[in-house]
Amino acid sequence: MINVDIEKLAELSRLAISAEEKKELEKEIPEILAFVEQISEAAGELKKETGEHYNIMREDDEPHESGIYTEEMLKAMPDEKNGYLRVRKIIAQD
Amino acid sequence: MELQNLTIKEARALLDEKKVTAVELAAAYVERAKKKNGELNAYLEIFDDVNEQAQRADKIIADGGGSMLTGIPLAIKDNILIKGHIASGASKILENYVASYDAHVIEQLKNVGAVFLGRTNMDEFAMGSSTENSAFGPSKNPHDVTRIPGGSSGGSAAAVAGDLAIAGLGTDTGGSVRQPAALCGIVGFKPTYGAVSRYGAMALGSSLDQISPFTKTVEDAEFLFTTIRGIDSRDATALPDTYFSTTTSPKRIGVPKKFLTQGIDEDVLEVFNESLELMKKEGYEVVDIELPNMKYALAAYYIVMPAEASTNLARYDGVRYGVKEEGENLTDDYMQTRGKGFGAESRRRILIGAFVLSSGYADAYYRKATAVRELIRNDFREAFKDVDIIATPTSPTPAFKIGEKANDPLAMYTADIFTVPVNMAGVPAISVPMGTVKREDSALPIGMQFIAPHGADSSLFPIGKDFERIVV
Repeated sequence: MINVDIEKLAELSRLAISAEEKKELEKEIPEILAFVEQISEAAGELKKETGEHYNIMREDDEPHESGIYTEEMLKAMPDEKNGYLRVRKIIAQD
Repeated sequence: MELQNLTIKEARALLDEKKVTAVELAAAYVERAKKKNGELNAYLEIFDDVNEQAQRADKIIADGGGSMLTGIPLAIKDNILIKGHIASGASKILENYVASYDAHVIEQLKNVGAVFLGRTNMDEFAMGSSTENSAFGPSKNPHDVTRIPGGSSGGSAAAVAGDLAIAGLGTDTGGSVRQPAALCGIVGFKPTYGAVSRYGAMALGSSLDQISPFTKTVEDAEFLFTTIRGIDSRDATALPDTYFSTTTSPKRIGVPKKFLTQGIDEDVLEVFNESLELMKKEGYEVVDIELPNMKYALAAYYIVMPAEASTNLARYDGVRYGVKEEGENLTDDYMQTRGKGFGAESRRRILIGAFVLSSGYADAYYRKATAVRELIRNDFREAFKDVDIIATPTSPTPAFKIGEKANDPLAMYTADIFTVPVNMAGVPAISVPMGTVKREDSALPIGMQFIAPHGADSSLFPIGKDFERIVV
């Protein structure tokens, strides 16, 4: 069974997991991957996807009147001040 | 008033003949929902503005306007946005998130004065087949409350089956409407991918998701579908009307016999075969077909879906909305918010998604899975050259016990074996009640799944109606 670096995946996914859960996942995820690996027996060749899925783009103009959602969006923010979303300082001064 | 098995059509007649007002109808459902919800946990919230909504519907009716859905009380899955109401996706991370806007389907329904009774329980962000992955406890199957209602849209299914709503909406990514419909003994219809705009539905697997109706009859499914479908510039995958074929009356049914041999309960297969015999007597032709790559569908799905889910769920980071957990620095804010906010199955699928997309593995997993998906699509395309409809059981088993598969993710995944290929191909399918099988002392509903070619959604209604008439 494939060896999976759960800690690395959790870091890539920005997901804090406990040591206990990590142990469980180290068992579960390779099991699930072993199951999905049966697709390697299928004949499908890797090629650029074509077919039913395609995007229908709208005209590149104003999708809605500017500002009509602003109030609602601000209300949903965990940390809002004077109409701005307040975020953590990410540049250190030293 | 008598709510048992009340359909949209019957309620429409009562409203139009002034035998009941929308306000009275809504109040009767709210009363029943409040009484039964403690037992079923179908609703996460019963709305407090139901009466106002119903008043609006009565006004529309009094003014001589309205359509089939005016004043009809509906149950809405908790991942479909209704402005001003909480939409949590049954997740802790959005526990108190109030929707900033209406989903397209909600706009359509508001336009005609449909009434939203409440938001219904589901597996967190629609990942699961039982509602046991809800952060707010599982829903119960109205036919046996020790059993799951199916999932992920199990709350809406339980609400409709238990007469806590006339009809409802769910989302179907791999069977999340058809499977709970089958397990609760009602109709679940997944339209062609792109038939209904997903604007305002929380994205899970964007190449698979489709908003789908729950109803008590096939005819009702048609009414609800007609109201919510249609082109919308805010969903780039919404298909134009010209894509859809006009109604035909399918007569030739294909059955992938070989695919129906593994992992299916014997009595479910028996009822399925008996049902097909009845269809033959009704004048339908039933032939054996080959879908050679169907056996890979579930495996390919559990690569494509987590890949898309891990991408879609990246937006829940506690910065712009939702729950926020403070960490030591910005990265740690994300880690803590997401670590605490997401439940176990969401975390599992995020990690699997990250793995199958990661450098060095993407070719063997994600890209191979999309290639296999093409084979599956092609299998359907070939099969539909010969037959009008493909039939399978909706689910290989009836409703299982709460807790029975909760600790075995792989066992849970197999519940979707017959529904997943449909989403992989993007074709439409309907689940119609097919009778019951016995487990312990309970008679548990199972479903017949009819699958049609792309855009032939309306062909599913005549065959579905024939089926519900002959199978009692």
